[in-house]
Formats: sequence, C-alpha cells, structure tokens
Amino acid sequence: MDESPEMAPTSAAPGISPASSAWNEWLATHAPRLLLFARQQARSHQDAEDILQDALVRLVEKLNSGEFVGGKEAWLPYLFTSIRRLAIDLSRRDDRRKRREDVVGDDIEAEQRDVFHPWFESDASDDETRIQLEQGLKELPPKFAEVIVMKIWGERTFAEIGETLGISQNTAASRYRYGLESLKRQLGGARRRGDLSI
Amino acid sequence: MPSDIPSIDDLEIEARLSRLLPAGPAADLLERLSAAAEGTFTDLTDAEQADEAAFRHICPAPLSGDFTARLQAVVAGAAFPLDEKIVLFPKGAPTVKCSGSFPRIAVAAAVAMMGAAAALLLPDGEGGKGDVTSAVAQEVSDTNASSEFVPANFNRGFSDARDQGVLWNGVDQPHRVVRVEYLDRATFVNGEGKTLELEQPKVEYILIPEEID
Repeated sequence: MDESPEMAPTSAAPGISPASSAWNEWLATHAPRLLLFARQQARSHQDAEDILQDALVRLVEKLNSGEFVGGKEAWLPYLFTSIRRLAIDLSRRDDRRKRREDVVGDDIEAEQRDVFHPWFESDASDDETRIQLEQGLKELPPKFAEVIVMKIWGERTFAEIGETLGISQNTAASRYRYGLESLKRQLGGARRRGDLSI
Repeated sequence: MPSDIPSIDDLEIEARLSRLLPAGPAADLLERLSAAAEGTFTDLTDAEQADEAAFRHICPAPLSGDFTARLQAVVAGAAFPLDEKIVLFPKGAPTVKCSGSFPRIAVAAAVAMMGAAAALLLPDGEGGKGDVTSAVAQEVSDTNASSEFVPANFNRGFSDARDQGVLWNGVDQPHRVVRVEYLDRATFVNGEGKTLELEQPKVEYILIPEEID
C-alpha cells in the first residue's frame, strides 16, 4: 500500500475552507483503513460504516469541546479503540434483539449485500487474490484478524494494538505471528501463482 | 462428616504424582519467552517485515462517494491542526449589525473603515487585553463628503476564554490552546450627525507552553 505522507493543503478549492480541505485529505488517507478495521469488527458493511461514522462523531465532539487529550497523532489510536468498542456494543444489541425476535435471515441477507462491498481494492488481474485475502481474514479467529488488520493496514505498533485491545504488546505480537502464518497457509494458492510475494 | 486427614489412597496418589515431572517447554516457546524477557519479541524479522509489506500492497477498498460525503459532513465544523502551532479553522462570517436604514454598500465600506480605524487608533496595530477605548477622530470633512462616515470610537471587549486542550506531537514542546473571544465595536459619525455602530466578533487562539513531567 502506498504511504502518502500527510501534507499541509497547498491550496483549497474555491469555496472550500483550508480546514475542510485538510480534513478531506486526512479522510482520504485514513478512512479506508479505518473502515477495513470496522469491517473486520462488524457483521456487515452497513454496520461498519455506521460504526466508523459514530467513532468519528465522538472524536469531533471531543475536539470541539476541548476534551480530547493529545495531538493529531492520537486520533487514530482513539478511533481504532472507539470502533472496537462500538462494534462490541452493537453486536451485543443485535444478539439481544435476535434472541427476542428469533430472526435468522438477517445474517444471510447481510452477507449477500456485502458481496458488493469488497474489503480490498483490486484490478482484474488480482481479483481472486483480493477475494482470497478477504475470505482468509474472515475465517481467521477474530482475535488474530483484528491484530493483523491493525498492524498491516492500520500501521499501529504492537504497543498501540495492545492498548486498544486490552492486552500486552507481547500478546499482540504473538497473535500477529499466529494469525499471519495461518493466513499465509490459507493463501497458498495465491502464493503458488505468484500473486502474492510471500 | 468428611475428614481433613487424607486417606491412605490419597497419600499414595499424591506420591505417585509428585514423582512425575512436567514436560519441558518446546524450543520455540523458550525462544519466545527469552525474547519477551529481553524486550525483542515485538521486533519483526526481515522475513516478517517482507510478508507485511506484501500484504500491505493490497490496499483497503476506497470509500463510496455517499459515505465519504457523510464523513465530510461530520468534520465540517471542526478545526484541523497542522502542527502544534498552526490550526486551520472552518469558514465563519463575522456579524455586522447596523443602526438605521443604511445602504449595504455603506455597511461594507464601514467594515473596511473599521479595520483601518483599528489600525489607526490602537497602539501598535494590536488589540490590548480587556477593554480598550480610543480617542475620538480629530476631523470630520465638511466638503462634499458631509455624508461620509469617519471613525469616532473603537472599543474591544473581552467576551470569553476557553481551554481547548493541549497540542502535542509527543516530541516537541506541548502547548495548551486557549480560545479567546473578543467583540470589537466601532462607532462612525458623519457631518450630518448620523452614527453607525458596527460589531465584529474576533477569535484568537493563544498557545501557552505546557509543562510536562
């Protein structure tokens, strides 16, 4: 993934304030990786979008009220933590609702809708790799998958991951290694074709 | 009533169990424990870093246009800090109120004159802290410009101050951001005795070096 360093906006488009332009650049860089983490945490694409939006609302509210502690570098750790907590809360609410309503078809419908919302971007040549990677992450135990997503695409350190998940950094590193080995085994086909250089 | 004294069978079982030794940890577990103790367990090997780079090359899917617009709406009114000293703020229009029925062009001209009056009447062109009252303008032109407005009075009142938190990138000096609101009031008069009062809010962000332990 190309790393686009955060740059100050050199000029705002007409009618757009410099602040809005800066926010747009920040969202373009970080929102896809945050959404990927939300997808890994949530049960559907729609839930993932709602969770990410709620997490961003919380951040902005804290920034506007002056309650947020830390600079811009603390935004991503805060958002990853918020996304995880919101996903857990939403999952519990859904479970309670399903127990009350005995609804069994919702998950199937969500899976069918999510076919149109892939986790990774791709072109025609590596579409199968993208599909296999997504499936591999879905089949991993969640405690491994969340560390992998935060480490690889979220570019968080093991210390930050540990703080978000409430585990030690060594446990985070251990889960990362287990998860990565498991993912590589699942992607054996893509590796043999040479689609993945691992 | 059960007895606290172990039976002969219990003692025999205990003796047999105590003669068994736990299996030693596997080599990779020992290696892991050793690395954790040394603080190197979280360091990735070259091969692991290469694997990570390979996976990272597959990018997360971009956001849909609709969802991007939703997120942009969330952050629309929020300031964006470029660094510890520069903060970008969203657009906001100053309020201007007029007394009497003056044409809009006169109001626009008066706002421009207020800026000039501030530069003329305030010391060093900067606002002081608290209330600042300046002298009345010395001349009013009595030629063809009897209807022209000239600055007569300027006052800067303190409105509010709020702590906005600390800006810190973890490396350089942290700064506490204080948001200070003022209300500038300017009075203009013309040769016909009419007055024009303008109010314009002003916001300043003051960065105060913050002590750290």
